[in-house]
Amino acid sequence: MHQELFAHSPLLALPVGAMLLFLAAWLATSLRVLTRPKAEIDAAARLPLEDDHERR
Amino acid sequence: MTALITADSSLPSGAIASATETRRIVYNDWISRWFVWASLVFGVVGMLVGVVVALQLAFWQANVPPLLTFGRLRPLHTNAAIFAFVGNMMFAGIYYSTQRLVKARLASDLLSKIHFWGWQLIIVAAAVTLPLGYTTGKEYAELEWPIDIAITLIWVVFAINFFWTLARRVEKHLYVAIWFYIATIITVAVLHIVNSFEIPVSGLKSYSIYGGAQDALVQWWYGHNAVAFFLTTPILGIMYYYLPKAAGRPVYSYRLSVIHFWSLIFVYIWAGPHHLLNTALPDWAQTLGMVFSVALWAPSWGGMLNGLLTLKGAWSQVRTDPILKFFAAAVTFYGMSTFEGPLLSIKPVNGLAHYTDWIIGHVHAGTLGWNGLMAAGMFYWMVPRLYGRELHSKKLADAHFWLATFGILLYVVAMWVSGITQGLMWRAVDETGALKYPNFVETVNAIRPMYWMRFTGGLMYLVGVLMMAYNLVATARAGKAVDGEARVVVPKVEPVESTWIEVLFGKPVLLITVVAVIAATMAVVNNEASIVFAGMAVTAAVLGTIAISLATQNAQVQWHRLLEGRALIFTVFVAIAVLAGGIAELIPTLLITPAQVNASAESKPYRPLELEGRDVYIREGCYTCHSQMIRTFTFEAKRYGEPSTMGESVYDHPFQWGSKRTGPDLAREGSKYPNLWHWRHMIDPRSVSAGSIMPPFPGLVTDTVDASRTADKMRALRSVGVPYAAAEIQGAAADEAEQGKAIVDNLRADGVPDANPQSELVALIAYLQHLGVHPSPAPGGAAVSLAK
Repeated sequence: MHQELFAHSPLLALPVGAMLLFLAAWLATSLRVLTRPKAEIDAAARLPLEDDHERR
Repeated sequence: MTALITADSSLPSGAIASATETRRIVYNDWISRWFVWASLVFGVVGMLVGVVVALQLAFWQANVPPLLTFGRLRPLHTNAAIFAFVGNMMFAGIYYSTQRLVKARLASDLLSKIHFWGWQLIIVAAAVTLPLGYTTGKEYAELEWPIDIAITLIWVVFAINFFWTLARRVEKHLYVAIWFYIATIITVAVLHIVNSFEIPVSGLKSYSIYGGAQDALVQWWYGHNAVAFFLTTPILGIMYYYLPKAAGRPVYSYRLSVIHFWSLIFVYIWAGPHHLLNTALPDWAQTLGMVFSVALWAPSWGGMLNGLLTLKGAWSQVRTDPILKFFAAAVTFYGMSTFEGPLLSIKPVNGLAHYTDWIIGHVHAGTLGWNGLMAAGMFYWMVPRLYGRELHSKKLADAHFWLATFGILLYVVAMWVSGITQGLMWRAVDETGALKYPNFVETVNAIRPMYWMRFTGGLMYLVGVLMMAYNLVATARAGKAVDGEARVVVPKVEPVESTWIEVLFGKPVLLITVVAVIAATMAVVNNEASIVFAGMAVTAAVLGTIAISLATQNAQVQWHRLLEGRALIFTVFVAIAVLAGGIAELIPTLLITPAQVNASAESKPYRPLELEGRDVYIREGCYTCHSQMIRTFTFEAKRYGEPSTMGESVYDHPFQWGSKRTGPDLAREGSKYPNLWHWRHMIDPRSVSAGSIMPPFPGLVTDTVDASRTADKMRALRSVGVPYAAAEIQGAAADEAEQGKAIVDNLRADGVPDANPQSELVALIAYLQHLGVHPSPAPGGAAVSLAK
């Protein structure tokens, strides 16, 4: 009975839509991040190492 | 020496004003010290309770009713391990690393203190209430409503302190670890609030507003994502800070960290239904859970590979440095668990593994291996720095590493063998098609040696943690508490930054909005048009991304760079990513009404005494060992009866489908045995079921239910959709007495002369005899009397 109900529910388009949104965002993020300049990426990656000589 | 750091080092030099000043920052490290010690204390307690419950499964005599039985201690163990041990460890790690990554002291010492003491108070409240039987009956969310409110408030304090610190930061770029912390704070808040909606009945009693399949879906959406956003994302953030620090080299691929972050937080939120495969949950939700769980493998391994490859070129250090050993092993266990998780989410594999110890092994590979070893590595790295002294003993740390690693392996292998053995025995049939092991106890006794092996592995791990505690205390005692400080060079005039409008209406945001609108249109058109719109959405996404990429390639200030510099907007995007999955997955099931689910009138609300019995069942933690969900397998139907339906549990607030079968399923327990069988079974399980490992519950004979509160409970349940008529609520006490008397009369006829109709055991029998019986059962239970 409830399977029938869900089979005809337009709300089930929600997961499909959300998944497409994810795919779009994922593609955008991937392309964006892959085209960033190396110097900028390297600077960001080194952030944890900057305080290695902090005073104690 | 003091670090001299140029703020916002990743910005193009031209963007920084020429005039600079040097600023001295003294970090708030005492809060990290407090959380480290709290984590260690509660880690020892939580793991000790874990060893005790492992012993109780191997040796039932270790149960001490009423307070110290497996059903009451198991929630204490899980809550202590997750929220006390890992929680405190996570706060220590986040506070320490965040200050250094953003070059700012924590915003408020007062909020830090409130956060610390509030969290410890919550843990103590859990440690007191859970053994006393105050529980909501929802796994990893057992704490009752006043404590739930306290958790919300303290989490808000944590969030304010954290985001306020980000607002005051000198370093504008948000390092990837901070992203993971933001995702943790936002998502845990959403999960906790949504799953904790409950109707209070009294000071320490409430009912979930969700019932049956809806409750199951929300609970496992929460439960799985508690693993994701409490045990994984903050620890990944910690990995991205502490592993490069310990290895002395930057993370292997910062680009990979960006991609795997967004993928992980979006995909994780969908995977909850894999805890409900082959059950009465709607098929589409099960499929969704399975597909996203398998997809989760990719971003998980993105993080794992990024962690391990950070050690590229530093493997020689791993041989000699116990800290790197812990980190390398932890990341390896993370990789193993996140391979095993998707594997277990494939429906046929899940059919074998679910409800067995394989799942317990999987969980512990994650918690002991990933969380526990990361915690150890972080503590061994942090404590010497927090006390200005070398680690007391590297040899002892090495010994801890090997003891912990072998302990985990012993534990996990035992659970694999146990789980697969039991899963195969449950489904084994002979040449006639009959069950080969129809007596459930046979399948339990076959795996008891594995329970001893698990106990040994857990004990080894606990000893390792005690060794670590000694090592760290000795380190701290030899040194003295010091707070780190740094000097940062900052521009006197803040660099010119883009406006919020530029960010909010940036091309990527517009593109995502367009794609979302096209995708949302699919909801209101027919199937054929949906496909067209889906194609349009994908095309727009791909072409738009390429166009934006080309257009911004040479721009001075890039959009994603701006996004990372704006903590609030970044937080909003994280929330959207997380909520998209949550809403899309939950809404279709939550909008269905109890009347629609129960259209064929399979279910009737519990009678008052049955309701009281159900509360006893929940209080004693029976759900920790018994499921109430017969899956859609022939072998399950042969053992337990027809597969369960959604309608049968529609009035169950909370649902009791369970997650583990140390004992048999009880979905159709009603009328299976006479009342006398249950009476004897609860007092001494082995008197009717030789070889059983269930603890005895003799106290239920003398403890009585409070009939004066039953009407309040029924009113509360009516407010969440259980169709109790006003007359039924008014006559609750009388009906309770009538049903109790009928059961007691039946017991007397079978040779139990002095049963009290108000005893909790009689109420529990009333409940058990209701399960799977429609309409309400006959007073005598099964037709065959044990006394004869």
